Amino acid sequence: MSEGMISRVATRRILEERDDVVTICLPLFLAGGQEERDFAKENPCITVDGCSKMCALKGVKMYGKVQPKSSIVISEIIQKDKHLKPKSKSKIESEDEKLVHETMRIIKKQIEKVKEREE
Amino acid sequence: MSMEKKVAVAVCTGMDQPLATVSRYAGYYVLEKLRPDKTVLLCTPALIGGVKEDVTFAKENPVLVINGCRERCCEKIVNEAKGQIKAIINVDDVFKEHKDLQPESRAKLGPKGMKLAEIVGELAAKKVDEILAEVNNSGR
Repeated sequence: MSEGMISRVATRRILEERDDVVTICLPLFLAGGQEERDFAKENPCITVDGCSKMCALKGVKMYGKVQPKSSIVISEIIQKDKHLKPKSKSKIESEDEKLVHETMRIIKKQIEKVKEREE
Repeated sequence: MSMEKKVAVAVCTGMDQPLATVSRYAGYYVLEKLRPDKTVLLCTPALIGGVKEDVTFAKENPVLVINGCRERCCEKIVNEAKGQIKAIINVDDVFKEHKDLQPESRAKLGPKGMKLAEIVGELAAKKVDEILAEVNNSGR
């Protein structure tokens, strides 16, 4: 899914910008990684899904028994803001940058909200 | 008349390690460049999320797994969903044979990492051909 790629790129760029967020390895989490699951239980979690199947959200709830503090879905951002759907699964084209930036803005806003609630 | 089988390619979706990124780029290389008409990308998070169409596809079509790191999560997830795994490539094993092709980072593979992804992709393309030859022979 090309939306999955937007989810990964936007999240990764945020990780590079800030030192108050980390990423959980989703496949490891889903495949039974106890360290990843414990981390998600002990820390506030935001899911960034690519499409409406929302597998990250479902997986975190189902396998980690964790209710994420916030859930973001790229396909909903595309629909709401009338962005063009990315064409490539493997690379960000210049026309996708606007969507990546909007996704980053939304993720950052949710991080701040979660941090405020946690304080 | 039976539908022509395609190989479902399952790649690592992890963001933690450069070898996960190599797994993904190798998968895209097979899917988009080397064997576009013979392969379909499998969404591994959807398998574990129980999305019916994805689970059914993995059960009804041969699966090629490209694991990123030694955790082998991709393989575990496909097995958990009872997908038909026909071949497995471990990027960390390929990397052991090409130690000079160290990817730059998880975000940017760089020329060496991309070369490693192409080598893995070429191995994957061979596996795709072998899998389809086997599937087609057994169907005769």
